[in-house]
Amino acid sequence: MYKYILKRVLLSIIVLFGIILISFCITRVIPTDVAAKWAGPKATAEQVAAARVELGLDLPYHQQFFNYCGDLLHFDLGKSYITHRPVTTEIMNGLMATVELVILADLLGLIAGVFLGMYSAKHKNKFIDYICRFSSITFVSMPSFWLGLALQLIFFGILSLLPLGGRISTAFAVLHQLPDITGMLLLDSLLTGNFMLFADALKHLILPVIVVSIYPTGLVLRQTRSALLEILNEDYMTAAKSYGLKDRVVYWRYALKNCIGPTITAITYAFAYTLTNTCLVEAIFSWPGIGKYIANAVTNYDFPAIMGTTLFTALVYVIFNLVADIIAASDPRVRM
Amino acid sequence: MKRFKLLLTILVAMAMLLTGCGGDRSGANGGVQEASIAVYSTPYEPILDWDPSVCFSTDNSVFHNVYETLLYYDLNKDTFEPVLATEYSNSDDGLVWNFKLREGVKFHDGSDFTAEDVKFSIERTRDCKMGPSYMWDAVKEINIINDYEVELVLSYPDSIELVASCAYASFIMSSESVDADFKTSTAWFNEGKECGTGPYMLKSQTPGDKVILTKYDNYWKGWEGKHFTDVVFQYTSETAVRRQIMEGGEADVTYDLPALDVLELQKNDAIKVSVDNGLSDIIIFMNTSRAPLNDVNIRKACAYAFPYEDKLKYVDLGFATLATDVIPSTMWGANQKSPYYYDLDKAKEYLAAAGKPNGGFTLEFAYSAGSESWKKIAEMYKAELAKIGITLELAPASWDTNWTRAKSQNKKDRPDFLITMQWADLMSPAYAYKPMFHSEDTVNWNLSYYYNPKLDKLIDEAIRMTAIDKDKAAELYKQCGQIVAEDCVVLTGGDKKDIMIFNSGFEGYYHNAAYKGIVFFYDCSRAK
Amino acid sequence: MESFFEKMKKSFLPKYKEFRLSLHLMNRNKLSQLSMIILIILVVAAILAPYIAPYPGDIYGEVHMGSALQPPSKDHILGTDEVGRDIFSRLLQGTRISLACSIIIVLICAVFGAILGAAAGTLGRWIDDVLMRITDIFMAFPPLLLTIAFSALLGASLKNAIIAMMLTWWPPYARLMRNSALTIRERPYVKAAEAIGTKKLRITVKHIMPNCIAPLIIQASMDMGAVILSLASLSFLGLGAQSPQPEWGLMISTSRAYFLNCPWYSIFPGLAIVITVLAMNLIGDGLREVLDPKTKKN
Repeated sequence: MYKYILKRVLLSIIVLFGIILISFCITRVIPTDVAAKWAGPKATAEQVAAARVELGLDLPYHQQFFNYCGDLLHFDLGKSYITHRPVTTEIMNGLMATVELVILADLLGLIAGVFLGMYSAKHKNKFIDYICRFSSITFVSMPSFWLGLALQLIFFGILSLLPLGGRISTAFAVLHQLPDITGMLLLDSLLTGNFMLFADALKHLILPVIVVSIYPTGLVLRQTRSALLEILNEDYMTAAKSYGLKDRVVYWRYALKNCIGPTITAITYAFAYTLTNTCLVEAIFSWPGIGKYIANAVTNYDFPAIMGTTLFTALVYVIFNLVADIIAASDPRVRM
Repeated sequence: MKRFKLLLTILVAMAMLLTGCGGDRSGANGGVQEASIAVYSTPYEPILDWDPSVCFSTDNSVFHNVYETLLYYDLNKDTFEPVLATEYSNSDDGLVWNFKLREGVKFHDGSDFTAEDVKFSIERTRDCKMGPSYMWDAVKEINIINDYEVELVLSYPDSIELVASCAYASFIMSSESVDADFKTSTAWFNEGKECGTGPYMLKSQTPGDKVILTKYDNYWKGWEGKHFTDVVFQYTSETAVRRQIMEGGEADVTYDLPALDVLELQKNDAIKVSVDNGLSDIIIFMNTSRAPLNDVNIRKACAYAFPYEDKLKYVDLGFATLATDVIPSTMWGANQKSPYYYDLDKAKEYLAAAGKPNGGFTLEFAYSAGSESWKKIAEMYKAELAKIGITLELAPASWDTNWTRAKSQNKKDRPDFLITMQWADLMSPAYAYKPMFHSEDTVNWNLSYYYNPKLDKLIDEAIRMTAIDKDKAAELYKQCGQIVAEDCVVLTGGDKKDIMIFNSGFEGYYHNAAYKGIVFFYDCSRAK
Repeated sequence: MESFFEKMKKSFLPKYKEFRLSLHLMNRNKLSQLSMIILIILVVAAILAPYIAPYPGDIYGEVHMGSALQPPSKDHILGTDEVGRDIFSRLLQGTRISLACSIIIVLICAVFGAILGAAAGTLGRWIDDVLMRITDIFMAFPPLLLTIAFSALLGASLKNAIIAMMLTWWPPYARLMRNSALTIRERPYVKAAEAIGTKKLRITVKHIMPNCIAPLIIQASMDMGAVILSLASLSFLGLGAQSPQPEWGLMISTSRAYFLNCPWYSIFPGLAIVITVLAMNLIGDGLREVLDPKTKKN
């Protein structure tokens, strides 16, 4: 067990090093003149030359890589070409907005997925089962950016019920001092008892959360359903049923417990996708998180920002995977 | 099944409750109709660099409310109005400039505004060698005559009044608060510090999101009458969201919306749209360094094939005017008629003169990927050139990639056409002629690779004359324009209008193209 | 030569029969059947696009500014875009781009990944370690993020987006191939072949690779839709296809500037993506049910 964890950790470290190497290579072989970009659109030739020295681009590559790793140890991901602010600061500024979105979306996906999956399994091969299975596949086939646009069109354009985008209405942001406890507006507004803010933030959250949660819902639904069906076929389940235990007990107490493993796997996988999808969804809903930050960086070819955020996200993902694996490994039902 | 239905009903009910609880889209929370607070919804980050010496971007819309300049240039009247300087004069040779300064002005840090601060600010900006600092290059020394009078001695004649009133590089900061060492002080600024004399001072900011200014009680003009007490610059990049904010009355000012949205907003009673002549135009560089565009006849053929009118009609939707020169027609010294117009027959004549009556070659058109209007221009031009047998290949890429390619030593790497937007950073045609058409040692902005000693001399002379005899200078610039047009090294894509969008209750905005996108909030107020 | 064909026939005939059976099994699934029909229509449309498009000129650079942004009508059944091009014609051509790209990407990745995986699985030792660590590194990035970085690096164009996709999409295939190679290596007939001194390469090509095909096909069929989605996402971010290429993601991206006033411009390209990807996923699902023994009983 400990040996397994140790092995897993070591492996993660190797992977991390590889990730760093790849991102270093990408930031150094860019086809554009980085110094010119840094110096700005109306820079003189003299200013560009000065920028080259300032950025350390006149050093040999191994030296640059050494500096890059050194900077990473200090959580220094470089500075954005556009804003000239440290990428780390900018990621931290957007992090909680994204965390709020991702957590809510994954949670919604998990709950909806498990519910629908169970429902589907219970009514196997009935009409409702077909609907659930079909929608689970539809959910993972939809481009999230398009779904976002379509929902905006319906709920903002036609019904005028929900805002087009943003995290909070401008009027609110301007007139009120926003609480900053956890950075998650929904939680903060509850903690400070500001229900106007809560309602406003919630209204802005609904559409993006739905769009991001669509993928995990589809995935979890499918996993839960097939895992449940597999378990329901086992002898002990048949036995439980034949004892006359209520359906509810059979499903909730026995069957579901045994689906935890596959569901964790599904949600880990879905988490990776939500991280990616936020890129597109945040851009659509101008949600001020790191996904929008990447999308903006891509349009501006702001490589330190692109690679910094990619590196950061990969790091989070690696750690998340590691933790999920360790949890799964400590579950005696999961064979290693 | 029953329970499922129940669950569904509850979910739907919850959703309806949530969506219903906050009111509708127009005027959510009644908008910001707070009389004392103005909200500027900015399409770009309100502040990228808090250092007033370095500022060379749209963040000057914040700076001009926090800092002040020696002079204010009114482009509409072509006059210089006193701000921190009460009067000024210059020697006949344009080498010595004398400024008398306003007394009783206090910086936000409480110190008095004196000649020392002017000397400090100009020297700091000139020596930092970043952003717009080159504008002060002519200044050799600054002599303090007394507390309220300074003298600028130049190494070559230059019109310092233009620099002192410029939208960039002209801010006066307190020598008390700012460290003499540039590295230290620029870091200090970027902690979110300022020390201007302007009507507003920084209250708080969230980098990458918003800047909130509040009134400075000791402002020298005083706070009599109707003024905003707070000004918020709120960054919203999405045009659709910005439009929504304007329609909902959540912001007072914005700009840079797509032409289609502006047309829609013009129909809205709650919105005021101000459309005025601006000082930015579209310049498409032609690569004269290699075949086939090294042949002036082919360049002229291309110039006659450009759909000038259609571009105004379909891309700008009327929010632009025909270009008359390589500088905007509203700039002094601009020729008022371009020799080129859309005429495919003429284009064919020139092709024939070049020995290629049927075209038969391919040209590459580089533009910034992601720009909707440039993409349209490229596609329209492609369709026109196809009619005279020239194939246009579209090459969208990031601006930096395009610029790097254009600056390449290898002539084969350079695109044939490169479309750019030029804006006047200095209120003199020199802003365009010096970087774009004057010979340079290493390619930087002369992206037509056009080297003409005769033109170089004319430009230098015009810059010198600007300080001495502006009418003469204007004459010289017109000659420059004619030479560039005769050699046909760029295509002119039209002069853009400045479009500002206001809440209808917002009053006091005075359009002055010299300060594009800048709202002097002290002069504005909200009608009741 | 004859004996070679004989051999081929012998080794492939049972597989072919199995394949026929699979097809038959799949045909029992109505959804898969429907998807198959849709896919066939899409493929035909893709092949014939330039010939059956009502406005073939609009597929490429033509502009008709006078008829820009018109809602669906008799002349333009799905409306027109911002420079007056027929959206239906462009969607047809978009089918061609999307299908071709996804086939190319999946095929090359599957082949490349399979070779690497087989090498790792059979050669073992340090080669296996190194190759698998490399796949670990590539798979440690959340999907699409590394692709975004690569295509930003290569510059925005469809060609570069495809290259970026290939660079990041092969590791699962390598992993899959290696794992099945490891299992199959332990089978008695491989052991027997090894015992009589058959060369490693021969064993790999003849015994191991053909027996690992099923999981590869499942993975590939599941990936087709995902590749189309990813490519559209790249184009949406401005990294993939460039105007005037009629790529679906790009069309949605362009339409964003007009979507509140001209919803048809955004809706139809999105529907095209959903229908195509859905059909592919349903087929992939059907294939998996048939080929993967584990899911058969459900």
